[in-house]
Amino acid sequence: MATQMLPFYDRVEDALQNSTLQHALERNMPRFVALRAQALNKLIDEAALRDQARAIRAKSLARLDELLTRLADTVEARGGHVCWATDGKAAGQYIAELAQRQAVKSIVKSKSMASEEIHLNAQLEAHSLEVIETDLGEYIIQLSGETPSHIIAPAIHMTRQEIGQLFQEKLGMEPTEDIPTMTRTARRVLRQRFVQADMGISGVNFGIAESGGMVLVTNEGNADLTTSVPRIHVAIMGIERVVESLDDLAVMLQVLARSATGQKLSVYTTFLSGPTRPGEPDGPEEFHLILLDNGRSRILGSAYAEALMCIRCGACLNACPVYQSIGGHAYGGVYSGPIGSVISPLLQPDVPDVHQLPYASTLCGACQEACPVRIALPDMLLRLRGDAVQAGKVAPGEQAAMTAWQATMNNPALYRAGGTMASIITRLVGGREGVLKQLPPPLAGWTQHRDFPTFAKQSFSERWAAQHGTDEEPQ
Amino acid sequence: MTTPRERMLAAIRAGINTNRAFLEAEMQKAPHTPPPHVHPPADDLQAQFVEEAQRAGAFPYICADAEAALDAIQKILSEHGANSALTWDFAQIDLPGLEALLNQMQITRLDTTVTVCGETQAQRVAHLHAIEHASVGISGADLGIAESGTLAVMTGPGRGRLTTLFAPLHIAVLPASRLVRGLGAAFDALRHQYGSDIFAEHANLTLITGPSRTGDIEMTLTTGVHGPGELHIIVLNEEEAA
Ligand code: SF4
Repeated sequence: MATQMLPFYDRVEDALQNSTLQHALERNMPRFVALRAQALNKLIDEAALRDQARAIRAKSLARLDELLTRLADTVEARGGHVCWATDGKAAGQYIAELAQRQAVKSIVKSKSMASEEIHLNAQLEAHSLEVIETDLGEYIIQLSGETPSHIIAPAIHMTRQEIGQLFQEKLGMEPTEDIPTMTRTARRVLRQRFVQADMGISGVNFGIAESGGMVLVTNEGNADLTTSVPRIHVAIMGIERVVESLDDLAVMLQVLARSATGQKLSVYTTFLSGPTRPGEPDGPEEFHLILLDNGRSRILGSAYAEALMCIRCGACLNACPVYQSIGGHAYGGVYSGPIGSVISPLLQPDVPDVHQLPYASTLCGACQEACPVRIALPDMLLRLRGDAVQAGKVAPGEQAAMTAWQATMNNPALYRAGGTMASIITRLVGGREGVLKQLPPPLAGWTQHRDFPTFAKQSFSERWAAQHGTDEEPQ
Repeated sequence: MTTPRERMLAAIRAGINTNRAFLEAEMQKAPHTPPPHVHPPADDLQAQFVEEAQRAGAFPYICADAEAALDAIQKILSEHGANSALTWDFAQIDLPGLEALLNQMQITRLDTTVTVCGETQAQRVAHLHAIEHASVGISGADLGIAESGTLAVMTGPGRGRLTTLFAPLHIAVLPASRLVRGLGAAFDALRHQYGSDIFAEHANLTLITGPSRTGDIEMTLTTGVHGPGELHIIVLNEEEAA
C-alpha cells in the first residue's frame, strides 16, 4: 500500500516545507501556550475549577436529552423556532428554505466550527445565496479561498504581506504592510455587509437549557453585529454544547477564554434568548436555533463519548508538538490538533485518510494536560489507532510501530523513560531543524511515512513548571 | 411517523444508556456551584476594577460626583470631535445632566430604533445607514466585574444593543455601587435584579471586557475591528465624596 501517496502525508510534507507557515508557527505557538499558562496560574484553585468544568460537561452529556428538550421548549416559548437537524444536509436545507421563503439576499456569518463541519457556505451558495464571513481571520481566508488553520486563529498561517496583497487585490486597498490599516479596511467593507444583510448566521458556544439563552464568545464583536443587525438570526449549535444553567455556564466561562487566549473573559460574551422583545429598539425579528447532531449521538454511545465534553478552546492544539510543527491545514479537515484527530474520524468515518489522523501524535500527553476539561485525548488517539488497524484502514508498518508505542504507553514509567530517550535521540539525530527523518527501531515504521517532529527540549510539564510563578501578564 | 426531534432524542437516549455509568460518575466528581470569584479577593474592588479594565484596554475614570463625570465625558467627546451620538434613553443612564451636556455641545442624538414592526428590509437598511456614522455610543451598565474589568449590560426598551456596539467610541456610565467581585457574584446580582430567569423580559445580555479587538493578522493586537475601538468607563463614586 503506497501510503506515501496519500494526501495526509503530502499535506504534512507541504506544511513542513512551507517556510511562511513554519515561521508563523514558531513565532506564535509559544505565545499561545505562555498566555494560557499565565492566566490559569493566577487562579485561586485552577485544579478545582477544571474538575468542576469537567463534571459540568459530564452532566450535560448524561442528561443531554432532557436538557435539549428544555432548551428547545424555552426557545419556542420565547418566540424562536427550533430545527432538529440529524445531519448537515438537514441543517443546510432548513436554512436555504428559510432564506428563500424570506427572500433573503445577503447573509453575514460569524465564525462557527459547526457550520464549517457541514460545509454550510457551499450548501447555501448552491442555492445562489451569498454568505460573508465576518470574523477577520475567517474573512481573510474566505477571500483567499482557503480553510481555517486554527480553531481560534484561522489565518495564523499567513503573513501580513500576504494579507496586504490579498486586500489590495480583492478590496482595492492601497498597498500597505500596516496591520491597523488592513483592519480598518476590513471594518469598513464588512460594516456595509452587515447593514445590507437580511440574515445573520452564528454558532453557539453554549446553550443554556433553563433560560433558552445562546452564549456567543468573540473578541471582535462580529457575533454581536451578526446577531443584532440583520432581521433574521440563525444559530447553529452542536447538540453537545448545552449546559443546564447560568451557574454551570459561570464555571465554563471561567475556563474557556483563559484556556483559549489567556484572557480572563473574551471581549464580548453575549447572551441571546429568542428574538427581540416588544419595545426593544433593535435586535432580530426572527430567531432560529438549529440543533445539529451529525454523528454526535453516535459518538455519545461509543467509547469516545468523552470527546463531546470539548468546549473548542484550542488549548490542546497549541500544546501539541505535532500541531506546533505542521499547523492546522495538514489535518485536512475542519477540526485539527489532538481533538481534531479524535473527532474527525468519528464524525466523518468515510473520508479516506481520516483514519491516519490519530497517528499525528507523539502521545506525549501535553494535550490532556492543557485541556480545561481534562479529556483523555492520548488514550482515545491510541484506541482509535487500534480501531483503524482492526478495520484494516492503516498500513502494516504503521501497525508495528503503533504496537511499539502502545507497549510503552501501557507502562507509564516506561513511557516517561521512552519519552525522554526519544527526546534525546531526536535532538541528536534530527537533521533538518526540528524535524527528524528516521526514528531508530522499533519506531522506524512510524517515520517510514512521515517526518517526525523533534520533541520540545522541555516537556510541557517542565515548561509549565518553568513558567509557574512568573508574573508577566498576558496582553 | 416520527419527527426529527423524536428521532434525535431517541438516538441521544440510546447513547446515554450505553455510557450512563461513566457519565454519571464523572458528573459527580466535583460540585457544580460556581465560585463567586476565582482570583484572590482584592481589598479594594474599585482599584481592582480599574486595574483590570485598563489591562483589557479600556479607559476607566473614577468620578466623585455627576459634575466630575460630565466633565470627563465632555473631554472625551471634544477630543474625539464627536458630533452625533447613539444613546440609551437618558432615564436609563444614571447621570443627570447628560442630555443637557450633549445639547450644549451640539451633538445630535440619533434614533437607534431599527426594529419597527412591519417594516421592509429597505426601511431597516435606511435606519441603519442613518446611524452608521455616529461618532459615539453612550450607555449605562448593570454591573462592573472587578476581577476581569468587565461591564455587564442588559439591553431592553430604551437600552439598545447597537449603542454599545456600532460607533467607534463607547462611553459607559457605571455607579460604583454596582461593582461585584467575580462572574459568579455577577450572575447572582443579575438574578437578584431580573428574577431567577434573567431572560424572561430581556433578550440580550452582553459582558464587555475592553474594546473590540483582533489578533488575526500575525497575532498582532489591533482594536476596533468591528465594535468600538475605544471603551471609556465612567465609574461614578458619589459615596466617596460624602
Ligand atoms: S479537547 Fe480540551 S483542550 Fe482541546 S479544544 Fe477541546 S476543550 Fe479545548
